[in-house]
Amino acid sequence: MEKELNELENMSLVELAKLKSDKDVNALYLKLFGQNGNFTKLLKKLKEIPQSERPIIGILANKIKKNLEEKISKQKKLVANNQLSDWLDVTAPGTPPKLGHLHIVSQTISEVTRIFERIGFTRRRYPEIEWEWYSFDSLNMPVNHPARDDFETFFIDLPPNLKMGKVVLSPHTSSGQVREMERAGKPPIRMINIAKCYRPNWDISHTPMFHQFEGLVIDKGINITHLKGTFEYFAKEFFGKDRKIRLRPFHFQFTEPSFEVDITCGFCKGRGCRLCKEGWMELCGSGMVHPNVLKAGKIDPMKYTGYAFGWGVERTYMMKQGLKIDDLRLLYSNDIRFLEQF
Amino acid sequence: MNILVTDSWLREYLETDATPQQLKDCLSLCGPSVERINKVNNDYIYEIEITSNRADCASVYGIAREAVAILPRFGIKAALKQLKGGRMESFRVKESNHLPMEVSDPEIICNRIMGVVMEVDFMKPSPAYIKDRIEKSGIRSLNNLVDITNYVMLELGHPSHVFDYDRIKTHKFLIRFAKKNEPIETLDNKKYLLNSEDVIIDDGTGRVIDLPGIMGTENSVVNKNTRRIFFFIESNNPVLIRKTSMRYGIRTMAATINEKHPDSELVKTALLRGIELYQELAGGKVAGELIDIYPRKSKPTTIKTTIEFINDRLGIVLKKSEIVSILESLSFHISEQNTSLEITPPTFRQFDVTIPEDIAEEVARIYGYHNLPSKLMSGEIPVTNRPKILDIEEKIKQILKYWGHTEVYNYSFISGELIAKANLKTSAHLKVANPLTSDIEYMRISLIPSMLDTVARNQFYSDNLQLFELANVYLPKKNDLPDEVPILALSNQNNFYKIKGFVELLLKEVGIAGVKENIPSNQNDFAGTWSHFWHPKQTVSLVKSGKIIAYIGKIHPAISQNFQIKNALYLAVLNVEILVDLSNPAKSYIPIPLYPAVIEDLTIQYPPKTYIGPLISEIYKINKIVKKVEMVDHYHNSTTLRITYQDEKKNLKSEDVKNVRDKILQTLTSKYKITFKQ
Repeated sequence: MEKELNELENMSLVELAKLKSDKDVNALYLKLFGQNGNFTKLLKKLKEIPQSERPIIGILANKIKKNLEEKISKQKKLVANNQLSDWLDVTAPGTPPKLGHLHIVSQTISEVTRIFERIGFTRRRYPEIEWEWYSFDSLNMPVNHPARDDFETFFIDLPPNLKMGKVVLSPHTSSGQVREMERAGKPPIRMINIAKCYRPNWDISHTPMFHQFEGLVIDKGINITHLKGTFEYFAKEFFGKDRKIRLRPFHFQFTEPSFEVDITCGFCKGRGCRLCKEGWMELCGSGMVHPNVLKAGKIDPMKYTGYAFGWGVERTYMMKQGLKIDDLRLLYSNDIRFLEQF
Repeated sequence: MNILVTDSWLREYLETDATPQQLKDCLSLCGPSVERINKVNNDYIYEIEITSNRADCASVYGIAREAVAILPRFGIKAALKQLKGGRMESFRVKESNHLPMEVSDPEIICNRIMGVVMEVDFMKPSPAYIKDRIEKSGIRSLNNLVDITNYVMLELGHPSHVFDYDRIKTHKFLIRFAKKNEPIETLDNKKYLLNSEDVIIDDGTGRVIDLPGIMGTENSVVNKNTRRIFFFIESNNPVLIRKTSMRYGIRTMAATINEKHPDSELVKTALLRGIELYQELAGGKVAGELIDIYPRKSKPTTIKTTIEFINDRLGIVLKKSEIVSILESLSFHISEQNTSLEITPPTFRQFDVTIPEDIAEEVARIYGYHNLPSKLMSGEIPVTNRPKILDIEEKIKQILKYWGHTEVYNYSFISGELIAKANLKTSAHLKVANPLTSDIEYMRISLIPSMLDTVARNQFYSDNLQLFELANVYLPKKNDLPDEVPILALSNQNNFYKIKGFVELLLKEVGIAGVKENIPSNQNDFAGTWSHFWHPKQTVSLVKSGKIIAYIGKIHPAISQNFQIKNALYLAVLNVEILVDLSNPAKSYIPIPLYPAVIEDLTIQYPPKTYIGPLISEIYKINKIVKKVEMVDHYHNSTTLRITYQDEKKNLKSEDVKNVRDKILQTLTSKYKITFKQ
């Protein structure tokens, strides 16, 4: 027994000295002192030797165990220290995961949605292929309005519906205004509708498909100051604290009064540059909801008022980033050399 | 439309100390937007945007009139000067000396028609100041006779036209609708075949001598021999003007003003101003009766409203006196009743101002939007749930981006050519009635054709195009709007299992478990994605609750070839609407196991073309201590499965595991003709 213990100690020490890694040292420890470890097994044999020899062997076993444990612990430190000299070129590039890219339209939609949701707007979605009624008639646009020409709106080759008119590719997100009034039943309404829109323009600065945001607020006592407040909030949140907005008189059939909203140019700080019109950039069209539109949505214009606004997603992104994409058609040509830049 | 107004001309009617910059800033805030000022020599040219409701501003005089209402609000003095033009009476000539001229409009197409025959000197260049002004306004100077018509239009805002009296031998003007395919040659020598909705002037013999309100014709225009003219102004139907002008692409300034419905009262003002200029600049003498046919008189609506209504729209409290003074500065007539106001706009605003909201707009803009405070709404926030699909879509996009996919946005349109390449039928698509080009003639019923096209166009920039698109497809319905179904398509060029792995984990992330796999075998199994897109032996569909969630597969080699895609391409197409229906993002909690698991690997061999999916499902069913079956290795007809056994209630003994393992082996051998490698 004594011999066996000494042999185990010697052999283990020889083996230990050769070990170079923490893992191997731990393995050796288990091999000795684990449940089925050699040392553990040997110790179990203690029962078999005469009672009188047991204390001596016991003391020896303890001494050997203590010694082995000490040496193992020392070896672990040595191994750890040895690793310090392992050289690694930390300047070589890492191996990154493959990262994709979201289209700038998606990026802008998420960001704008978040900003409006914080002031109680809910995002909605309405048909992209729509009846003339929702796209025009309900928005106070009479049959002869120029926007209803073939030159301004895409029509679908289908027979018209007696009540709803022809089928069109929705030329603006405003088509969702009366649909939202119908959905809500009665005010208050705070909606933001973001969708694809279509118009027959296709050149360096127009694509036949584009994206718009539509905001619609209807409640008792809504007035122009609320519209201004909302834009100021949005402009500062989205574009930055130092930006200012202004309203200019404009004309839309479905709002009265109507405005165009401008924002100070972020690049020249309002001094005037190639990206803006003498310090201002057009942000969007807006106005107070026309009473005929409220009536079309079965809302009493004597009890409720509202405001609406709509603007282009693509433009908003470029205005924020200061991008001058020389050909807007690039956005939908899906060249990955373009898409991977965003 | 944008107009160009020179500062010097403007100041002929506008007396003010305002600098050009001040004019620009003030007008833009309260009236028409001045987009730019260009300094040319010693003058300034304002570029001004005129909205379609403000034809009254589309002239030098119109801008002066607006400025007079606006500038004083900024503390700048401004006054309007007397309009030029002679008095009607002074132009009357003795009836015995009248040159004959007969104008008729039997269908009452025009609102008002005025005209006068004049004798003139031979045509010559206009004086420098006329030439300079009209050219700075963007119109080419031709000769004094024609320039006068343009000068009047620019100054006052109503188009006019001059004819050679002697070239209209009948001395008759008949205003009528054109016949179908009736030919016309406009004065720029372009020929058109007309439509029955176009209005023309006929000389009584059937000869077309004008396209009124849009452009004159070659056969009646003044020339170097002209000694007598017919100066003519008519107030047209704006809708007909717009349609004809757009139909033939004749976008003259006259047409763009006439389609905005200028005031018919202005016809007379413009005629008198024109006569005066012909006298001054062309030796003109009135030689006939002043014709004035005026079947539709200008008649502004009187609007009843209250101070309270106006203030409610503005969100501030203005005194009655201030509101009245603003409206009066715009030439509105106000009569005060007890608590209400009766307001009549001037004739030149009659089409634009018709309801109380229009009055609120006038007050608000002249008071100044910049003077109104900005507030956020204080009312109650509507309680409406955000549509679930929005969250799922956003999640899917984020996940795919971080898994290395690039998002594409294709047009919702598709060409007949692409439809053919994808072996679809054009008749299954909604057709655009007025596409700009054949590229955008149909509305997509599948995202696959455009995805294939995108892959084909980008294949030389990457070996593995991991692209995705999430968009609606438009499925036609009888007598109704189409179904707009949101679809996700993603591509991969690595191998089938890569793309399947993305889809499986994506489903897990949006909270869809217990999906069954189905090997589609007939057309019906492909509802909505058409079997011919897919490789018949390398496509699977994922089904839950009887709904097809997704197809994953290799693109059919013949279709790939049609698109000239060089490498193998795998696509997955998911119906996002169904994902939303089935998604259950709620997580359930299972206590962390107290007892250790036993994990062992099992290598099986099987006959060729054995589906391993059902086999794995079978193993799960054998005993509830089988917690996980993973495929760790796969080679030819041999697969290594890693099986995790675990019991929540006790430590597994080796015989517990052995019993289950034996059962697995037994089932697999009998059902799947499997052999085992030990």
